[in-house]
Amino acid sequence: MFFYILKRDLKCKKTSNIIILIFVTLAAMFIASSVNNIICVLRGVDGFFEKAGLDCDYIVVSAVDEDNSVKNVIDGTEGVTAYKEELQLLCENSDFSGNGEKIFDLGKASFFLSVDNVKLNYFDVHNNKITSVNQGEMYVHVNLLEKNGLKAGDTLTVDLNGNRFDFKIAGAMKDALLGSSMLPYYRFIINDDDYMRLCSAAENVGERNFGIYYIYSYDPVALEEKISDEKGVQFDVPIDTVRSCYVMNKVVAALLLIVSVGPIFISFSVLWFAISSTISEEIREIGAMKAIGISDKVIRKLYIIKYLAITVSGAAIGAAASIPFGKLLLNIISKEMALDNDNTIPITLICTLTLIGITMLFCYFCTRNIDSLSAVDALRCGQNGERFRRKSMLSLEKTRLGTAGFLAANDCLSAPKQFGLITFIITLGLLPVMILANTVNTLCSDKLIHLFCATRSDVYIADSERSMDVIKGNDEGGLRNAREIERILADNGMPCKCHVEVYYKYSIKANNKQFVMEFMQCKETKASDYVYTEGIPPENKNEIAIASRGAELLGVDIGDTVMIEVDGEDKPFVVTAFFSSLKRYQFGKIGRFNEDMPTSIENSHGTMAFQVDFDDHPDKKEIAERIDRIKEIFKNDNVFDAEGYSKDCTRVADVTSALKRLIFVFSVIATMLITVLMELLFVSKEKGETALMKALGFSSGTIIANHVLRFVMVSVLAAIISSALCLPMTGLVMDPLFSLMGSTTHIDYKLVPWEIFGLYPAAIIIITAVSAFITSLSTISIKASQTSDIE
Amino acid sequence: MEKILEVRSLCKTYIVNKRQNNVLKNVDFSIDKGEMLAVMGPSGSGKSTLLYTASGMDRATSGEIIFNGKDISGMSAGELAEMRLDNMGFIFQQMYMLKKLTVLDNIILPAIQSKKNTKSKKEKAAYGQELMRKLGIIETAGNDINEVSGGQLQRACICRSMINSPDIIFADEPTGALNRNASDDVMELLSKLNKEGTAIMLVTHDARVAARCERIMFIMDGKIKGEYMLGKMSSDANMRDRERALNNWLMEMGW
Repeated sequence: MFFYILKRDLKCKKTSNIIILIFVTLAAMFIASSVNNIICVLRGVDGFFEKAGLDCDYIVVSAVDEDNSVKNVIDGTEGVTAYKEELQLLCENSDFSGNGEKIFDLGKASFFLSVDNVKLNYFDVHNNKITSVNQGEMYVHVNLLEKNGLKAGDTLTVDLNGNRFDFKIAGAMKDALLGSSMLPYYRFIINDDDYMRLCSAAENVGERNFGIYYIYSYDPVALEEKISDEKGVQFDVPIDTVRSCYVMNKVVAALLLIVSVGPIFISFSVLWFAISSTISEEIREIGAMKAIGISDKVIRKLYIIKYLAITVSGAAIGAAASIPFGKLLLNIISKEMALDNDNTIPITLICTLTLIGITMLFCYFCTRNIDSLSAVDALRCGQNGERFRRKSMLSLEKTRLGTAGFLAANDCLSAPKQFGLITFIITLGLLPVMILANTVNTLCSDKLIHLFCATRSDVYIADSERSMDVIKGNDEGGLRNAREIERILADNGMPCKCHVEVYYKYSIKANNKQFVMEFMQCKETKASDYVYTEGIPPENKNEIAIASRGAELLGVDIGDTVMIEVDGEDKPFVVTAFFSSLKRYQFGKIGRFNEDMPTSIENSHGTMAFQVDFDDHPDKKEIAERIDRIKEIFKNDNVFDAEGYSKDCTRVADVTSALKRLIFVFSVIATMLITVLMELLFVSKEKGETALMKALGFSSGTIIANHVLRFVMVSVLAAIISSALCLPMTGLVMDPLFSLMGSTTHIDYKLVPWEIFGLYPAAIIIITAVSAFITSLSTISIKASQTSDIE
Repeated sequence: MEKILEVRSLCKTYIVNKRQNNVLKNVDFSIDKGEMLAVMGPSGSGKSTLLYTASGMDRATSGEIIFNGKDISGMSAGELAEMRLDNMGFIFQQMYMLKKLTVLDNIILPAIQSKKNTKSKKEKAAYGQELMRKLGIIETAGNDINEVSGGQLQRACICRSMINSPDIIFADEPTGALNRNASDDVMELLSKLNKEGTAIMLVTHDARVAARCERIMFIMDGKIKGEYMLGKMSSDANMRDRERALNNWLMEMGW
């Protein structure tokens, strides 16, 4: 009997059953793939490192000089038990062109690496180990290819000292050490013969020799102290810091998981609505079944079996689809990592079974109403002569709306649960898109500049050559390079002021804790020009500000004194302020000196971009034009305005933007399906009323307008709610994720009005209106003579 | 007498499970202005189909339907809707109303929708209330439809059918769901309306109801078997005689 009734029901209500099936499928697909991905990414970093053979304790990337001074330091440091040296040749931006065009985006530094000299395992896009490279070919980092619009088969030309070398791109490469988008370094793996030829051709090969040292030590702190004194060290970090650089992959995977909750809620909401509507429509049949003696349990079983059939089918399809879908998502969020998830199928199975279980429990509770109705009540459709709660809300006499608008508004207000649910579902679809849009806009705005320990300027010039000049001690405080930039720009009709933030490495001690910290200083700005979360800026030479995380690590508070080793002597400094920092690979171990604190060129370690402020305060458009000119003048594509620099610093705007587009598409599809499903249910439920209105003389156009306006009203309401909530919700969702990146304060998110109040709401409203319109066309076939269908 | 409705060779066929069901077979009849016509017949004879088809609520398979001099059989759905809104009133057996509107709003809804009715909303509402007062249900104006009795609701349906001052009212078993007293009240009202000049075509299987009409048409198996002229009703004292005469005639017709 069950299968007979089920078959008939599935046949009669094909469309609504199919839509419920689609939602369950989407829910299963999203939840299984998101859970798989987050497990994969959380475990994957360790797995990736293990696969790559990156099991050391400390990393040093340094120029190799004639005296091998870095190697000598490593050898002589207590605690070091072993190390591996991977020699590479430094590339400069000017060396490269791709397919005949200049390539500029080579990050902070890039290296040629001979395949015969690799000390780690490197992987291609299929996660196969790269063991050989043909002569004339090279493997290029996957991020670099993407940034420069290149692919396998394209040609990269290296021009060294007039010698031209053409390399065919053999494929994309995954690099465990330098693979994270948070690290601005890239490597090119080439054949050993090609490597030797490049070394011979390079004019200043001595300066281009670099080594990456994978050091095994039981006392990395001691090593850190000693290494920080060495010139030419590009960067040196404990392995945990490198691991932490993949935090953005975890953040995005977590974001995806959070966003996946949306389809689950929507599925449950749709199910609740469908079950309630079906029971309400079939209440007479339920009454008849009760009257002839069929028990409540059996009646409920009928509905539960129907929805079990749909849920199991949808979950099975969704589970199968989650595997390729999950792989697609994994490629978007973690293309830099060689991830394998061996447990995809068991996890998918667990997620699917859990979804089925929860859905069936949900169905069971939704069908509770059946028990509470008596047979007579049900036969009378719940009407037993008693007065019921008032349904009508508006007055036709007093309204200014037209008939269709009045009926639509009255319908919405008379059935608040129903239309409230639709509003909730549309809001649930729209809000994640807006949250991601706010996040992307913030990442691409200048609102995060202060979190990178920089002031806001008109233009930022990221010049690795000039940076190296400072690191090598040829330009104290970057002043000479800054003056040179000012002169060049003034000569080109762009008079300006230029300054640069320089990093210095100093050893800091407090509360029996000690480590090397990076201190920022700009000789040409004041410490008070920066943003602090607590305290007052360091006004004196013996005062410092430190990142809140760093303060936690040291166990110090504002007003405490710390000892910093300056020129071989421990000197006291008072902590006067804390600040929040998103700076890559320092993760809290960062501070700021007062501008007058006499720093040593020996301790300089790197610079931020050179910051330019034009004397004539041009507008945005003019700045953009000048940036193009500056790029030409300096032959450097890494010239940004404040927004561009912020985006470049975070390096996750693009992947977040891709995620936003994906979620937006899902949102549109979900809204469309919900609208079609709900409208189908309404059309079916209100057949009699529609016939009555036609009998009274209402045209099909008015009836369709009524149906469409209902959905337009709820979608407008959903748009208003989403727009109002999007900023606070962005903070609620994203602040914890930004805190993973190092921020300790609430982020001031950027809301782009035309997007949040215009584009996304308009898209959803239009989709809703069109879907409702198309579905409501079925009311045309309802005849006035079908008035007897009214319940 | 001028005719308000003329039906010629009307046929209506339904196709159910690939089987043809000829519900109406070449039906011819007409209604004069101000006339009150009852259509009677056994269940399944095609009474309601005749009513819905003649009023344009359903499409005829073939035949002509002339309403107020216009052939409506070829009109579009929109034109038919407009015609029903402006020129016809409907009363159903089950007192169909829109659940989410008050009684008054249900009554004035066709007036608000009608473009022909050029009164202001306030005037339309006032007229609706006047009709309700006339029919003795003004106290239910602000009630929901589930807060009133069956008789009150049917009277509200009559008000609704009258709101645009139609030329004809079609009523399908208007007293079918009512008790005797309520039935008498409703028929009293319809008779009053008819006296004021509104033509009425009603479908009923109750001879007591049909006896109030001036002409009765008997339909069986989709064909008009006969017509009986009772004439205009003059006083209550005639009711029993009229009913008796009608019953006798119906027996002769084979019902």
